[in-house]
Amino acid sequence: MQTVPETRMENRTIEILSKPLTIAIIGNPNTGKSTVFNALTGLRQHVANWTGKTVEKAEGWVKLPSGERVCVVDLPGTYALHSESPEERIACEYLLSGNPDAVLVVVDATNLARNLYLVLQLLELTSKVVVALNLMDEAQSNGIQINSEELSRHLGVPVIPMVAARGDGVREALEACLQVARSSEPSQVFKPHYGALVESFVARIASLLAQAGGTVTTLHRRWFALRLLEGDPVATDRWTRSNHRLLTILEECRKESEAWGTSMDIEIARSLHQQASDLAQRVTKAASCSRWDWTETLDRLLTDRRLAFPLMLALFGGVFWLTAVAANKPSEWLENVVSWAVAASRSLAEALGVPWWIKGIVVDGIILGLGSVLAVMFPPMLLFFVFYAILEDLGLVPRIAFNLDRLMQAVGSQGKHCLSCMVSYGCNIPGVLAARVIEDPRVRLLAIVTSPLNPCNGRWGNLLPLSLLLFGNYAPLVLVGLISISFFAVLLATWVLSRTVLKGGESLFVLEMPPFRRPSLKKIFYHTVIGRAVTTQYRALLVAMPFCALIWLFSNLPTGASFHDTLTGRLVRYFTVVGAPFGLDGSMLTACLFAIPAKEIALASLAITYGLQRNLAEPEAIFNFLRAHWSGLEAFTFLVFYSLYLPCAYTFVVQARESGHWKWAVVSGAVTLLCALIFTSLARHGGSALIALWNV
Amino acid sequence: MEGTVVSLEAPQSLSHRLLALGVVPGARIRRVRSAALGDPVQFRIGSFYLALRSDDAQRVQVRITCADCPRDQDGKQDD
Repeated sequence: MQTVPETRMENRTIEILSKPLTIAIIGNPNTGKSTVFNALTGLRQHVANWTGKTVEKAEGWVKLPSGERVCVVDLPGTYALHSESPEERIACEYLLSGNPDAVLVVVDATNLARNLYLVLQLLELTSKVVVALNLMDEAQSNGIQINSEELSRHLGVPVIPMVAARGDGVREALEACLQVARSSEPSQVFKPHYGALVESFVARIASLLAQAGGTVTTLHRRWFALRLLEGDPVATDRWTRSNHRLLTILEECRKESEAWGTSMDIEIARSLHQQASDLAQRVTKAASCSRWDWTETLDRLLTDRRLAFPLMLALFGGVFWLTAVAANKPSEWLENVVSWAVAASRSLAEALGVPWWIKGIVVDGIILGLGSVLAVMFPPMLLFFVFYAILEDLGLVPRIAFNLDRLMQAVGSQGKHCLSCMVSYGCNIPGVLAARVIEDPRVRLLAIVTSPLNPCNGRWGNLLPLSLLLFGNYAPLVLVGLISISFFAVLLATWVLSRTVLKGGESLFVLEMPPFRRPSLKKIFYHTVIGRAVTTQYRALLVAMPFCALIWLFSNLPTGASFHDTLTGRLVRYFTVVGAPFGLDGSMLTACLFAIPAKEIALASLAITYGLQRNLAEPEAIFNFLRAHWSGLEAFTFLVFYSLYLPCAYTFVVQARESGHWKWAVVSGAVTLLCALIFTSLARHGGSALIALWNV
Repeated sequence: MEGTVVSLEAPQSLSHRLLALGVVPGARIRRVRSAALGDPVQFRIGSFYLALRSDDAQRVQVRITCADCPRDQDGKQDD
């Protein structure tokens, strides 16, 4: 069976013959679950030092030495098995219905008591559990010693010490999981006990659930009874519909616990936490150590009333500056490669005698267009994401969300919205994806919709040379102005949205602040370079391809026409009328339209729409032309519009997918366009008024 | 400021999240610092740090055991 080639058809046959084993990985957020998953499967699930990266479950495969394949499912990080948030619901539903053959629960050894809470809850659902005691190195350097054998004895399941970032213990954990998965005897595991009051109600409800029928096991009945007592929405929805006796008991129970001055959910959580921390205490030896706590020191600096904002600005300013400086050369090299490739394919096309229009579409349209997108977009995006990953890995990102929450709250959002904004500066697409970390669906939509207002690296690639060219020594001032305008636009759009289409109550802000950790270079290479930058670039190119062909056609049809009579020329004439009230000329707007598939080609598009050339090459000529043609105010007006208007084509696709409905991508388009027009008019008319005042 | 959690009266979406994190009656909680703009507030509970908005933190009743423990600034939760 192992020699069967891996085509889809035959794989299905194997599955029918012998269903592959499935191991589910679960754990609190930020415990290294995804690192364990990656170490097992060799996949590149994104890993970071902030909570809540995996929202949907990821699947991968491990091939055993025997040739057998084992399915590994990475569940979203969760603190408990309730169904309060989407990630908890996904984890819960999978464990209840997916029937994994073993569950590997990844536990943060530096935080044993809180993590054991989830382990104990899990043991109430299944006995096929293996505990991975991760971050053992960090625990040890904190002076914490955990007796894993004793913990295993108490829990009744295998406990494997692990340092997942180094790969220590991963093999052992896999073997333990396989053993648990294959054994048919149920093991005697720790069963939490909640005290007389809770247990009496659990027994009554469980017997009612048994009468209600269905195929629910005794173990799961107890579990559902507990969730019903807690008022868990999904369990309540599933069982209480038209079950009046159940409702009566729940009401009775509520009254009784009220009489005791407590409520069932608090009592259940308190009791389980107590058992978890007792257990943790029994197996832990903590030596007091007076190490210099750099988390403490850094936190004090980063949240200081006077220093926090200058520090954060300096940090991000530094990242932008480094990105711009370091990306310069590689961009030039890539441009050389592209012009070589264009020349080579042009002569190849000529040698083959390809018709002129095919040559035009393929060489001058697609190859040249995609080449310039790649050259402008890839080096800075890659560098930005490497720098960002270092900050993220270090644990800096939650601190920024912490500091900015007050400001975001004032406009109807919350601190985690800023995480999406920061990633958006690299590229809007991962920025939209980063919104997954926000639990509140309303705020998640706010982040998705406002993400394109943050100028991405594609836009920086044009904003930077244009400001340098047109404003010389004042360029840094102009760039700071543009960033401030874009951030203000995000605040304004969020404020308006949260009072109109995305109205809702106060958003919750409960954020765990992890300790600072040393970034892992290997992780950054695999997950950032390949996982984030290369994948995004590849997909962006795919989306931009047909548009590049279209732009070439627009600029060269009808054949032999002068520039003003081509489709592009006509567009320019039409947009001249549209843009006049906002201080934008037709060529500017047409160039922005051409740059919708990929914002990177704005400069090259300007060269086309000002009639300098008919393909997307980026010549020196455009610089000289713009310097002579645009006034300072005109130039600034264009830069403001270009920083804010419309999401690019691929962002639009991702927004529709992530929000679950294309209408949110359309809302985003409307919001960004409106913001762009408002701020452009303000810049133009405010600017002329200022100049007039100055001259008086 | 340091104290022991006495009770919790919050909407379920907040209270269940806090309960899962170990903010339960009997737990020891310490106010560490506030963000640069004064809100939210960082707490230490057990062996980890948690950030909460002051409005949400107000819903957790705490019996204060040590009013002027290190790095305390102003009044936090009622008792």
